[in-house]
Amino acid sequence: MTRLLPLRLSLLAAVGVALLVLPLTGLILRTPWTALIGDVGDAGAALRISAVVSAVATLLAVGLGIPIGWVLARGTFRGRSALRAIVLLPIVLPPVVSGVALLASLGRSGAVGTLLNNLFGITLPFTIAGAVIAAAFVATPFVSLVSEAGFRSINPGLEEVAASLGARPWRRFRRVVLPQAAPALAAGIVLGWARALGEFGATITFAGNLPGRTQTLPLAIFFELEQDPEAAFSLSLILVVVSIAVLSAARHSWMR
Amino acid sequence: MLRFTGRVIRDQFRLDVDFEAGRDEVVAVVGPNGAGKTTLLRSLAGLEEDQAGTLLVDDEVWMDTESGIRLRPEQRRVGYVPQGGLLFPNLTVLENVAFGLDRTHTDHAQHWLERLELSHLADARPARLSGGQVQLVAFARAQARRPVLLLLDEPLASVDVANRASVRRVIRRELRESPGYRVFVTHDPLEAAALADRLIVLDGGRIVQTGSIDDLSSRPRSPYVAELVGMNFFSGDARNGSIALTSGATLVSAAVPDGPVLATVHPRAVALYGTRPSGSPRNVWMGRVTAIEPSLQQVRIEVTGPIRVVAEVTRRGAALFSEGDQVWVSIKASEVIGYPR
Repeated sequence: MTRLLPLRLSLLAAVGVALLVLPLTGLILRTPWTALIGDVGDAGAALRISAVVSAVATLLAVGLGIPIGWVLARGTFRGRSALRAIVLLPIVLPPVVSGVALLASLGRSGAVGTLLNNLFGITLPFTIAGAVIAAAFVATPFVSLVSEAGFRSINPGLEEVAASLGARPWRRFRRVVLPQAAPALAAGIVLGWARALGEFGATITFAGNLPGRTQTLPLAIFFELEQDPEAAFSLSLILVVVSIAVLSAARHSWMR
Repeated sequence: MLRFTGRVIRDQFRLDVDFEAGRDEVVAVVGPNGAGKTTLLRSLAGLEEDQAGTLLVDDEVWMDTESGIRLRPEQRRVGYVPQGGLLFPNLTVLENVAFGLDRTHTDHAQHWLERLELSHLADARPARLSGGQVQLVAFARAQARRPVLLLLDEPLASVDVANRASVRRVIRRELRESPGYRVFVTHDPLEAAALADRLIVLDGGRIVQTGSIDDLSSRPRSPYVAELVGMNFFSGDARNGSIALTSGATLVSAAVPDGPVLATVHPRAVALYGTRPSGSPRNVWMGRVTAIEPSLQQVRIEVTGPIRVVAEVTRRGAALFSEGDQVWVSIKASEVIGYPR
């Protein structure tokens, strides 16, 4: 089979792999292994914030993104493709623009932000809740996109058979659709979580960079880079290890 | 009594039917591709979105769109076996059969697996089953709920030839012994003849004829039905035993009422000769062999001339003819069966 692969494609692929591998190698080479534990300990707050923000944002993205995926896959209403375009927009939008858009709507002077503040006394910008919203905003489309593809690949005839066997809509979804869509949903969740964990632009714009309150790991890494580059390398390595672990877990259990 | 007066309108297609079915009969819906057979079955199950009309099952109203009544599929007590079976791939055979049952009634599922001799497959996943096994499991899954109305879509289409006879025998037995209404769809007249008491012939979204297979073969009312039962079919005006066909030719019949008529001739009653036949057949003409179509036992030979007919001859007899040959066609008047149009 490999003989059929054109040589120039193979060469380009090799260059591409180098482009992807070199930076990671460089990071590993520069990591100060002796100071690693101390550096990570100093960033405990950012680690905790990132863990909480990415977890809660993923829950939001899953809870809202999967229903969106379902509606997009099985809905038969006008404007479905327009809805899909709107839902997917945050994927292609520069994150900083997402942050500005969040500020414009949910900020203190934004339409919804003012309402939230006046009615409930809730302020989102520059809080950890704001960081969660920012991460969920960019992560939800990934969950929707991948779960829609998963739902689409299921034969609608199976749901019809389930209906003829007396299963109401919720039971059909739970017993027929969900089990079959599980691999796709898991992939969507992993992608969404990874996106939430790595969120930078929208977070710094909407939630700011308040150490101990809204400073997530990526923000901490960026600002450590000026003061203590070694620490930035250590923290980056943590994120690389976590990402590789999640990716391989996903490959082993869901993406077979 | 089940009575369905329904319409389904979808894009360019329109289904418009009115029929009854009794508990004492197995009904087959036959027709060409695109006739609306599956649509009819699905509308009985409540699966078609845009349907209107009434569906009465015993004294229950399942649909009466004028009064705004339309039971959803899960509210109708149907057993629906779609084409290809469509088992739930993530469940075992036993779990599939038990899908429609309360947790307390899973022994029904066991019972049905035993009854259809599938017990050894109880823990198997659908992907491991043959086409025939899938069909029987899907059948058991539908029957386990004791449906009032059993609906099968092409029950043998996905079963390979080697297993078809045995699966057909099981389905035939089960259809006979089911207490409710039973309707199945097929494109295969042999399957319809083997399994059904009564056929509903659908063409272009309308019912063109209903009746037993004998009714249909002795008195087809459209070219499609005649083709289905394999009869030569003619339409014309009869007077004193002579039928003036719409094509201009004439057929002599020993038994035909005067007036507008339809007539059939069994292909085996069409005799072919290389030279002009002697004797007394009343219908004799010369034509040209335009098609020779062998099947397992017989060969069907199409002869075009003043009247187009198909003759069925033995394989040995067919060896005498080849395409393009001039042949004499002869049909006894007693073999031309005419009936009012």
